[in-house]
Amino acid sequence: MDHQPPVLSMRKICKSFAGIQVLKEVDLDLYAGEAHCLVGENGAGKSTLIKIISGAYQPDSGSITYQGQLLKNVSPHWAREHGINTIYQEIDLIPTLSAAENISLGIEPIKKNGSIDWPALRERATKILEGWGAEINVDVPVNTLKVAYQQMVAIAKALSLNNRVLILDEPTAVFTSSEIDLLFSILQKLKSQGIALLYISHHLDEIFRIGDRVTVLRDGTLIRTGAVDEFNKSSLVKAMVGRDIDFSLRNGDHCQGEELLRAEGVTRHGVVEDASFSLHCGEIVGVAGLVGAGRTEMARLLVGADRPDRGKLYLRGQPVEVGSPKEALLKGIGMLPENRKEEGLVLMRSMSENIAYSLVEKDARFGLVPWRKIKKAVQDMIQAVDIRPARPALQVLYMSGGNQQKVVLSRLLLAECDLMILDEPTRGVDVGARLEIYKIMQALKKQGKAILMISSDLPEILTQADRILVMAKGRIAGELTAAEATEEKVLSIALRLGEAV
Amino acid sequence: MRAKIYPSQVVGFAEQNSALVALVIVCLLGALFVSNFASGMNLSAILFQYAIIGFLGLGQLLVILTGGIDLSQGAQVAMISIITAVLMRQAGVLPAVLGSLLVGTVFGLTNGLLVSRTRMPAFVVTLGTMGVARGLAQVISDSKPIAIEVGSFVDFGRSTLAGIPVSAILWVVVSLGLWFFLAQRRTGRHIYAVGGSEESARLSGIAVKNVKLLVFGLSGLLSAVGGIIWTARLSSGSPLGGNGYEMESIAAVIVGGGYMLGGIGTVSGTVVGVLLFGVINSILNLVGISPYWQGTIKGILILAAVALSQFRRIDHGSQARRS
Repeated sequence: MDHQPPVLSMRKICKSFAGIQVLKEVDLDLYAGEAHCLVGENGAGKSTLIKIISGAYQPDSGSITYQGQLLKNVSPHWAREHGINTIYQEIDLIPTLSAAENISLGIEPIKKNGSIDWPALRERATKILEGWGAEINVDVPVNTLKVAYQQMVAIAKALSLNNRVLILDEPTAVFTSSEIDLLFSILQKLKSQGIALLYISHHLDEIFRIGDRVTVLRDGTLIRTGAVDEFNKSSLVKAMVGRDIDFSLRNGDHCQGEELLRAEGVTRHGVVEDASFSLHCGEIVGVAGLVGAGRTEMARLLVGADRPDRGKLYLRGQPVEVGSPKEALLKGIGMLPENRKEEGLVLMRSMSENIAYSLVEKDARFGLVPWRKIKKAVQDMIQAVDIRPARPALQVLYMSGGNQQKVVLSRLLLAECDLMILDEPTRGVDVGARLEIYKIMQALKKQGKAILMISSDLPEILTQADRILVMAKGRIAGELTAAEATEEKVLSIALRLGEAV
Repeated sequence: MRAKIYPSQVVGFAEQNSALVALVIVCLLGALFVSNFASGMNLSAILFQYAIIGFLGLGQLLVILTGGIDLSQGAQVAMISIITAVLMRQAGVLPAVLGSLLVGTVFGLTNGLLVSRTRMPAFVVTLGTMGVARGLAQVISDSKPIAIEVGSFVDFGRSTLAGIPVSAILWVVVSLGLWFFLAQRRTGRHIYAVGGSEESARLSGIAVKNVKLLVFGLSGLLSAVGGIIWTARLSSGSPLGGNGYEMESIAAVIVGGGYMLGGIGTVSGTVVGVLLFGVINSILNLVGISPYWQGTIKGILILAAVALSQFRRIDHGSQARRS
């Protein structure tokens, strides 16, 4: 295949967001008829790279050549019209229209009198889907189909527009194994038709099944591109991990206090299965796992944002029911949500209002909180966690990511929670603020609070947590102590290598 | 052999067509317990009154299908009635009708331009143009009704064919045409696509902005038709006409199975929704409930109907996600 020039070729692609470099001089070649896999840890820059190919982002520097032509300022629309299609996890279909209509959307066949030729439209859809051996009802709204089938409809739709490059971003996240088999047989057919596939997946066995070549990214840099045969699972994992950042603040003295919260068999069908664990005062427990492993979903069950279908929670040995996040807060369980801008903050309101919301829950007298009390509390917090700029009236909208995160953290501190669930506490936070957040966490631990930290950043978990719960496919797949944990160990549990090998 | 009908199929049909089921039940109750309800006079009175809302409902359906809303419809009825009356006095029937249709269409296209070319939400745009239309009606008429003495026009407002109001027959014909357009034409399907997911529609090469322009233009045209019929029926133009009609048209679309965020809704459902409101309105009048209470009762009925459909939707949504 190397005799032909690549369909798409990227050279020295750089991209940064808000001063943080996400991609550094990355090269990538895609050849017709190959399945090229892109691997790397969460945050390695895979998503940014594919968004640059599909036109959603523009690179800061570097060049992209597509079918011999140098591309400049590509829009998503242009990319699609010219045969570069991306199948995202969030499926890009009209949910209320049928599969048949979605596949032909914008290019509906019409009869002589100008009306839609429904039989031809149906046939176009069934021809593609049945050719794949997929039995999909093409007449019902696609939002009533299984997600795996929606994914296939999206692929069929992409193919109806003379496709050259097909990018698949974690397509199998919610697939059963027979659905994966079907998808792979479809992909094999597409390869033989000369379509270039760029396949992103955390599941290493899929890469060895479908991939011809693989590119490894780590921290935004290209580590290696090579034929899949040149790798085995452990060498691939090794290429993906292995960096050193020193955020080590933990002083080794992990002395568990009394048990604070115990979960027994907590289950929410389809997202969290049979989770049992306990959290103690004075420890930080990390929750590791891939995106979609059910970590946030489990946290939501602990604070009552969702209700479990089964299972029990015990707070200080007493069984508890947590009906809502408000109830959780009153019982001393607070959560810092994953997406602070949407779930954690009211961006349009001031810093002091954002901090004081928890006071309203806890200290209100006749539904009112004395203004002086709020002012005092907010001032204390600004000093305690060093929020900058220290202007209580500032709209949170105008603050940096790290300081926004400190505002949310302040609210939890003010609520005097005993258990704090921190979901991706340092996502989108610069290095300096990150260190400060770690310091706050360690200080809280010393005060005897329990912290459950969900993070996709493995080094963060390894340096901060005393114990690590590793989740995979909604289950707690393993537990490691800080002493025995390494990136390889955590990742191999998260990737479920143990069961595949 | 006859196909067997299972109870679950009956329940499914009732669920899919809850507005129709409600209409049948309300009509039966009315016929049984309310004297004069089932009389030809009363039924034709319902149609006279609600054919107007019917035209507005069709326009509203188009707009809601794209995820928008048109609050200016009621005010447009008033503006059109004044324009019709003024043109009728100065130029005659045909110029008055054609001129009013033109004004309505241009007015609707203006709504469409503002919604599709600026980032203003339809709610805000049409709230503004609602004030503009009502205000213009008052300025032109000096806030006084304008009587119409042209016999042929007034007769049209009262004419019937085999006992059925001509305006209602016209409404049914337009409904059929619109049904064909929405179900069989590309542009019709693209209206559904825009409301289902604007971004996906855009990426599929659909001219989203033009689709929005079109639906608002049609809503303006249909509001003008409603306005002309309203004027003929009352044989005068009034700056106070059509007050609150937009609420009834929105409610008819939603009760008929439409979805406020777009992508779901049918012509047949909307027609049934309009008739349901007409029948309920008539029963409340016949039973002698004070007009002050009628608004409250209708409001509660709308809330109940929408809440019911919302529960069903949430239920379906979670099933789809879980499977």
